[in-house]
Amino acid sequence: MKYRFLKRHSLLAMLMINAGLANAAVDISGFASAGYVVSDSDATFISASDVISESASFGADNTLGFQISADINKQTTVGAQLLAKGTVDSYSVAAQWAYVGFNLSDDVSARMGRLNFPATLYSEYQEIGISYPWVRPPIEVYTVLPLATYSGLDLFYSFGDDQLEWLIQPFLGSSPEFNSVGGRGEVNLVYGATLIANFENGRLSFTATQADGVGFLFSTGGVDLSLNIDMTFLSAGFEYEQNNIVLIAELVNKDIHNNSQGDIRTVSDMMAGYITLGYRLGDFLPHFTYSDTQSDHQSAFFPAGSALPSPPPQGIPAEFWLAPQDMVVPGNAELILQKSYTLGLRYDFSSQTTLKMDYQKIIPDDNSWGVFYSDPGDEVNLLSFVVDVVF
Amino acid sequence: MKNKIFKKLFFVSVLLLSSTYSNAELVVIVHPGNSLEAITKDKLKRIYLGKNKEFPNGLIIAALDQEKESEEKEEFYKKVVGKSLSQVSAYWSRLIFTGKGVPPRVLANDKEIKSWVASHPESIAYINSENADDSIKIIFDVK
Repeated sequence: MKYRFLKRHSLLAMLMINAGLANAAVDISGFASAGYVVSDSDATFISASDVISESASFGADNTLGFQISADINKQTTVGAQLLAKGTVDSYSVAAQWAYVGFNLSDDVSARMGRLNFPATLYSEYQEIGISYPWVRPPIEVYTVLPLATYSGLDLFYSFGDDQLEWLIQPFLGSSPEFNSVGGRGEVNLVYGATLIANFENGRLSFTATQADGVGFLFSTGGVDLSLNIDMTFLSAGFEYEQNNIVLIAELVNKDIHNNSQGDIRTVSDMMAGYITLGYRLGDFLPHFTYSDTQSDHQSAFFPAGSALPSPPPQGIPAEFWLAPQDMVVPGNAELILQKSYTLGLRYDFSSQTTLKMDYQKIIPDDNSWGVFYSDPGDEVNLLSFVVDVVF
Repeated sequence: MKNKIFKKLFFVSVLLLSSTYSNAELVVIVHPGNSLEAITKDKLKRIYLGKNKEFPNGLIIAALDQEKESEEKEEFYKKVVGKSLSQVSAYWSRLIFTGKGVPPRVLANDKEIKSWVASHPESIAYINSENADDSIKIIFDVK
């Protein structure tokens, strides 16, 4: 772990030295968020790449990021972003991304390195709170794809005119090993493309992502289990603002194929979406969001100690193949079925500081715990506050 | 008593200052050697949102900004780009923190901006009209 940490930092140092040698202009910028969550349930819950528990009331949305970038010459740019995030018990520091970029022509550029997935409207800047209206992007949609970054390359090609500008961004790569909600994961091959239409008052975005050989390692009741799947992820997003009216909507669909675990955890295909309506009043933006999920499949509940339905994986005797605690199968990271209503207020305190408050009512589907790790009951009320800063 | 007078004086001078600010007209300037004689508001908006990267003559544009929370910056973005400074900051944070764009370089005041533009043929900037002189060329009046 320490070694990896050092490696990441030496990459940054290398970038800085290289940039210095080339005598290039170096840009340093950063962002930070500090949050507070209060809920009427003790249940720990998943929020995109985070797990928020009661013990993390102060700190759940805490983030600190530094970014450095430099133009080596007219064609080449280097950049890196370090991210410290509050997790349940501590902080983790990681290189969120680091890359070398090439301007191939006025319309075409390419990047190589560790990159963010452009999977949804806000996934590339999910950590930059100031870039969206809510305390955190709608959890129903932003927990569907368990990947945030990959190592590989992407290409930007833009065309169109002043009124309508198109951007095509194909990408290809893999994720050697990453922390996922509830375990660790890796992806052998991931590829896809994003198409974005930027118009005067908004944008329309479509993404298709195929991830082959997605491996998850998770520990349950002291037993390490692995899961291997292929995943197809489709998304459509729309963002629009005119005459003070803000409208945002997204729809995502996840299909799981070739599950190595057979019956258990196999049925986690799902669809999720949300719609947000806001009205800008000077520096204030009150908004309302309805968010929902849908699946043909249902989770099954297994009380602690009961036998699990599928045959045990190789090497595990049948007498140990029991639910170590109350379990919902497929697990929460796979099939989150719930809807929620969010009433929020964003206040732009200055051009670099934003205060946000969301009140969210979460209603898990029957037979599902929604984003929660334990039975949350019929509904959960969540009140979240965050201060977002860029510098 | 003295205190009161000072207070009044202070109040009057603030009024005077703020009135000069609101009356000041901003102009968009380039290097005198730039072949561009005029520019449209739409084109300016695209340049300041990082969407247009080249002048018609092929020169790569380097746009300059006034200080973060300055009156000049606020007025320019309101009138030309049609966004508040918080909206502009949210817009750029999406590009900066994904490595997709670098915002205009910030310089402290009209004087610094003017001398930078006078010595950088690729630059474009906005300053108060009363500070414009022969060292730069005006291509747009911000109204």
